[in-house]
Amino acid sequence: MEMLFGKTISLLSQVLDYHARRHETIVSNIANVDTPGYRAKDVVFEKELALRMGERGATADSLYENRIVARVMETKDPVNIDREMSRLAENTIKYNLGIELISRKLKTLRELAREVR
Amino acid sequence: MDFSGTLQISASGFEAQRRKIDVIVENLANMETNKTPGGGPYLRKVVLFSSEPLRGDFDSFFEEALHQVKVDGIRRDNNAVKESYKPGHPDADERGFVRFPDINAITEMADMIMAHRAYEASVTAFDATKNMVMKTLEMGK
Repeated sequence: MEMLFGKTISLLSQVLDYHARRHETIVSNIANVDTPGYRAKDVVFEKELALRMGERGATADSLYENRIVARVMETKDPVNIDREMSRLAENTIKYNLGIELISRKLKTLRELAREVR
Repeated sequence: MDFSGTLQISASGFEAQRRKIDVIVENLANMETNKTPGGGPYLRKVVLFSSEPLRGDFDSFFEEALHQVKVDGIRRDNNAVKESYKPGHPDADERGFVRFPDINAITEMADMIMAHRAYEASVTAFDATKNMVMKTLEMGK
């Protein structure tokens, strides 16, 4: 796989996975906007990534080798519907971006295969 | 990603809000109903929501994280009765009072608007999920 596609596809599929999970938690928050006692949930990843990127000697490869596992955390706050709706929109755009990048990578490979023929 | 689970959560959200709106409409329609088959005036109804973990084949750490909404029940507010002095009313008691439901139209309307907004939010989330699924299917075309 890596010979042909490099790390791009595998990395992008993880990006999609992360955004898909984040989407699930946002949807769960929105559905429970009126439920008493429900606390908003969030997937923690970006903060940890920023932390790791700040470390000395961090490279794209070292970050790739020591993957960060996205975790679902329960926050202390009740659901803020405006925040959730904007996060929903933002997350959808980022997910679509991941899809677009994979599509373009595949397109490049396809064009390449056609050129060689 | 288990998209059907996500869609199910959204569906539980707007289903719950729709049932809330049904009950609010019932309350508004019965504001003046002083006789019911069970006897006594109509009693205001309140919908109770609770969240329950979504059962499915999620990864272990997502099992407890995702919650769908459950309509926990519809309760009657037994104190929502007011007495009006209407001696000419056929249902008046010996003192001339009639027992009517104590329903505040403004409270009900405000609740209805809130439920409507929450319904719309869940529908938007549902649409977003649908778009993501469609995009995924188009990948590589």
